[in-house]
Amino acid sequence: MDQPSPSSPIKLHHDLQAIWDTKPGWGRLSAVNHTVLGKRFIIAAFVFFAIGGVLAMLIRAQLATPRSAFVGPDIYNQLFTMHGTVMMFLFAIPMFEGFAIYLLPKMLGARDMAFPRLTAYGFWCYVFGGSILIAALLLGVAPDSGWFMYTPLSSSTYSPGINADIWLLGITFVEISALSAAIEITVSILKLRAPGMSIDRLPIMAWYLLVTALMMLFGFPPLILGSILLELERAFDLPFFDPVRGGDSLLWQHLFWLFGHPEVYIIFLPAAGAISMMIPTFARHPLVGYRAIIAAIIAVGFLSFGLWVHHMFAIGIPHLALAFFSAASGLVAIPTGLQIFAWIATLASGRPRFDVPMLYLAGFFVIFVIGGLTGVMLAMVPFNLQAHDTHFVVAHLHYVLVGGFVFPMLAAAYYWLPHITGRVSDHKLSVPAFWLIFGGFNMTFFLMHLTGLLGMPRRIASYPPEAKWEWLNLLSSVGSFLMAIGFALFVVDIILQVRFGKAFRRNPWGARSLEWATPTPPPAYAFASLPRVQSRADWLDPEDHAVKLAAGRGYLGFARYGWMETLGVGMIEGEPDQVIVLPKPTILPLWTGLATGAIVLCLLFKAYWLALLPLAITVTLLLSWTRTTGAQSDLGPLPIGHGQSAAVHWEAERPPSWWAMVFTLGADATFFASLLFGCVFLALIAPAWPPPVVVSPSYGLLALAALLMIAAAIYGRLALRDLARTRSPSAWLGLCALSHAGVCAVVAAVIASDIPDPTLHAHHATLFAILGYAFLHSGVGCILALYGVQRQRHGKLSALRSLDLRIGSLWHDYAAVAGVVALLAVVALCWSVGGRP
Amino acid sequence: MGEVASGKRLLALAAGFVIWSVAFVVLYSALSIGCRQGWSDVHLLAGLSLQRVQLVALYVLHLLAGLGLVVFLRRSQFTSGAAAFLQTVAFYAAIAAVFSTAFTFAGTLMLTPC
Repeated sequence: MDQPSPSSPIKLHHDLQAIWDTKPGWGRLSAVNHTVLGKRFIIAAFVFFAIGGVLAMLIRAQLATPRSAFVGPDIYNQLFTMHGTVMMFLFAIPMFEGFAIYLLPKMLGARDMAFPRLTAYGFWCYVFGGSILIAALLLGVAPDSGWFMYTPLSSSTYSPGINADIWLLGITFVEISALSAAIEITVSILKLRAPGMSIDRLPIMAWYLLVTALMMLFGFPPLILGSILLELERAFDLPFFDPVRGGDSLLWQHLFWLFGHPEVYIIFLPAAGAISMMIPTFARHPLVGYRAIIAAIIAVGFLSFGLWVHHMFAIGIPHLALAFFSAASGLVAIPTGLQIFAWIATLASGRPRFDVPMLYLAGFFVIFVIGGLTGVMLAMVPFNLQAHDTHFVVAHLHYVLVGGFVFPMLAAAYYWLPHITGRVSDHKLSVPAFWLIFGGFNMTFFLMHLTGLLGMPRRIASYPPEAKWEWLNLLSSVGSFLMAIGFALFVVDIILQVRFGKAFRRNPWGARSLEWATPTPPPAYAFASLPRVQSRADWLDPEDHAVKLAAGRGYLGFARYGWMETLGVGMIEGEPDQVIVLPKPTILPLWTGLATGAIVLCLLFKAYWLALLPLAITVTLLLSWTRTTGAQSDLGPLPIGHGQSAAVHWEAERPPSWWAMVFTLGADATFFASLLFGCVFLALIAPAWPPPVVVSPSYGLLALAALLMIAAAIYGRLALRDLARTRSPSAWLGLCALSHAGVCAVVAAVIASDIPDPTLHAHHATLFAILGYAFLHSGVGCILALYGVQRQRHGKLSALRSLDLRIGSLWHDYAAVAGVVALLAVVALCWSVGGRP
Repeated sequence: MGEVASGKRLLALAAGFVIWSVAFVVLYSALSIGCRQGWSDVHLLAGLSLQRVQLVALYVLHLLAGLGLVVFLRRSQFTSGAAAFLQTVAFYAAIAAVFSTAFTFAGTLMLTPC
């Protein structure tokens, strides 16, 4: 196939704009572009940050004086719960997502993220989930059990209202956004890069975001599992956390903190990535210790999963286990410290230029180092036991999170805002804003170390005057209002810059990374043509690239078939191996988000059978996303410029969607492993075991289910084999769907006959959960097999275009392995309490 | 290089800390099971309990596995380019992981298990 003839830069710009731009008016609701959605994520996250900030002001108003009558304990409980929840789930994570979505493709030399519709769907899930939580707050029924929702306080016995359900369902809804972003970021970094950007040339930000996204994939499933189990307990009385019936409230703590501690680093690492991009610019020197920093990020990523029990030192676990977690908690300071020394070394090696972003980074250094040091103090068991649940911990976590995320993000806002707006600030307000935020923050939180050491507990609505905490608390409150004034000045400064800032041509800081090679503000397609990268992508010459790329002299410097195209590369060498055709703007993600929201609302108002309707609509809508993907004939290699050609992604061996399924299954396996951990934990540790009635499962039925699972996987592979031999795969796919349906029927029969009452004991509830997991996976497998049949009927499959079946086969294989493990687990759990045939 | 081979080479970056993670899961599980089963009260030779012996054995086993990985990565022959870069970073990470394993679980040698 011939390459489209080159056109003038102006015509190329107009052609690409016509293809990539989001339509005005109602068309904005169909936006899937990363620049648009990145900005929307950032703005929405900032709105939630403002709401969380107002809640913080109310908390400080309450604590300013002893015996305060400002709000009662019921409202106060909602205030601190929502403050933590909003800041962690609705501000920090989405802010980083928006930041990554906006910047990452431009830093990597790509035109968009790998799955633009998933970006849009994630955004709507985030906004709708967050809105449910804020609406609950306004209606006075917000969650009130603390942002970590400890059981039994959050169980239906002690929290009978809708409050806790709003947290469990609303946050799980928001987590869809986080997981979809994690998959998208991972695949985009590994596959969607400029030609020549081998793995050793990645900008350091990409390494930070890659590790962060992988941490999210493995860190969020335990929380999602915990939320589902707790909601099952609240809604259907399945006693996973009820110690009277073999449950254990500590299981919630384990599942929550398995997510909760990595979450701190999930928040910090993207900010550290931004710091690693900004400091070399202002130091005018490449980042020192690039390889050592990558090793340190990997170390932080892993070590952060070995610290979770330091939130639970006071619960009474064996001393040796405490020592493991204490050692790991202290240890994580070393790779974190290595990064700080690398930044200092970069500054020391260069000719530093001081500007507003550097001012905020100086604030980061001071505050984050203090937070890190108090973190090491809290990692030591004897000190932790003294300071546990006091304001010392509140001070520490704010030093870490505000120091490690908010200050770098403020610096990043000043650094990248010119890119977003095409305007620079005169910075008259940014300096006083910094001093108010910095001074107010330290006044607020440094004093909390002292109130904590004086014994002031967390989450108390009032305290007596004789406690001697009143002056410290009053000063803390004054400090918090100074900080709020500082943030207000920051907002005014940003608005002034957006509205009245001076226009500039390109790259006001003299940065050396690819995002500054786009026009500013950037067009929807980011680059008129894609660059070839020949050095590390955070130390190249954006000006030189910018001129060539705008003239269409890079890769894909043309408009073809009205397609939105970018390049996919080999993960390590970075050489182009496919043309990725991205989907056009569509309103489907919005409808799908609304349908998903309807499921959440049905569950929230306990209309469980009605929830099946929006569930069916959601599945149908998700399947309808694929109507525009693929082709009905083989295209073969397409020219990409510079005399090279590459296959279109649905004809490539390993396109982004295949990798997305691999990572999805990785997260799924983590969810399953967490479930098995929970089952073993209860059987081994929880009180009230063995159960009064032991389940003796129908082994014949379990064996039949296992055989059907394996058969489904084999049929899926046979379908692929026949497609490769240019035969129709429909018959095998039909058998695959039938096998999956058979699994569902058999598993349902086992549940109905052997576990008639899963509320009886945690033994029964855990077996129910494991079998439910197997049921669900075969259900999805059945849909995927039938989807394959549908694709065949529409002529979207051939030996070359087998992607749909290969993705399906991954699922069938996983469902077989996980399903068999689930059935073996059921047998083992029954045997462990004497349930033999 | 095929995509699956690329994936494996990328996984080498995490290999050292995967060993650390496995050590964590295995030692924490073994400790919990041993305490539950009362292995601290089962004395073998020289006053050592079954609990201590199994924990120390697991500790040493994972240390050796980590050291083996370090030696393997040290001997790998890549002189330049992306492969050499990955090998170097994997080597650094493996060294950090061995140190982490030695430090995190050193308590198995002397602390009261249960």
